[in-house]
Amino acid sequence: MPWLPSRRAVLTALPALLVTGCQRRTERRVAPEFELKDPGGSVVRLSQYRGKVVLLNFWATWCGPCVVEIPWFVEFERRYKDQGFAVLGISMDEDGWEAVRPFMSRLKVNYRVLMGDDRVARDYGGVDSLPTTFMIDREGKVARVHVGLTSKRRYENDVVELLDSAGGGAAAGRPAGGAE
Amino acid sequence: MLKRGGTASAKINVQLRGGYHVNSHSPNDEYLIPLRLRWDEGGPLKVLETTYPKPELRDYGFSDKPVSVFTGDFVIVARLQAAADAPTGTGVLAGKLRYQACDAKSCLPPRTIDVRLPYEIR
Repeated sequence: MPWLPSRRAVLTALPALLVTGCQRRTERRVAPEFELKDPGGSVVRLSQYRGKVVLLNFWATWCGPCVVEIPWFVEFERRYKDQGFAVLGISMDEDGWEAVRPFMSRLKVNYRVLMGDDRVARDYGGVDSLPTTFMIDREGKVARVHVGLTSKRRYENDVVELLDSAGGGAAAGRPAGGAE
Repeated sequence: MLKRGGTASAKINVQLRGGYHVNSHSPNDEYLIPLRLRWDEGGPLKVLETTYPKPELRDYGFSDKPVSVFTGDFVIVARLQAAADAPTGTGVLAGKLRYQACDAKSCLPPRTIDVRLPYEIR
């Protein structure tokens, strides 16, 4: 069944998340659980990542702005992985792994990529356009949503803020100035 | 309007919302989804050729090379031929237009919309 995003769903389901800066902890909502497969066929659940800061990125191979962000995420995964951080990519490609696998190789993706479906898109508010990225804190709650191409610095500031606020000791991995 | 056995050209006007572009019919990256108009087959009309406009090569911040796109209003032309033994009267040639649109910072999922081209054979 094709992925049919709904703009109305985004506006009604997640209005409080479309704000500047990470939301205060008390205002955050739990990120919807999902079960999706990785390229090896293993089922991955978001709840497996509880206790980590997660950058959850909806993307597709045909999405130019998404492709710009992927090398940043590769770098974040490498830099912050040991501090309790993980990137999860959710591909919305209709052609499935056949399209995604070679693309991942080409961009040397070092983080876990899962194949999305209608259900996960709906649960995350419709995912009207790509890229759409959810910053999820260690408690499994959505701290911020980025819709569209965002700067590397903004993402990295979020990662560091969430790692720091959770007592993860990310100071050593702070982004250098001018890292846009 | 066509005569039996005759040919004619039909223009399909496409309007794109401001700020958006669609990939052209010949994108310059293998991962991009091209604009494509496909016609249903089997009726009294045969589509001899579908001609797309000349693409624009535009620079976008998300690409290190110009992207082959259509923007604004543009026209696709279909060259049609009626079968020599086509029944006279009116009909509709149906097709599907597949496209994928983006603006400067984000992309919408690929869509397929119905195209209906009324005709008359005399």
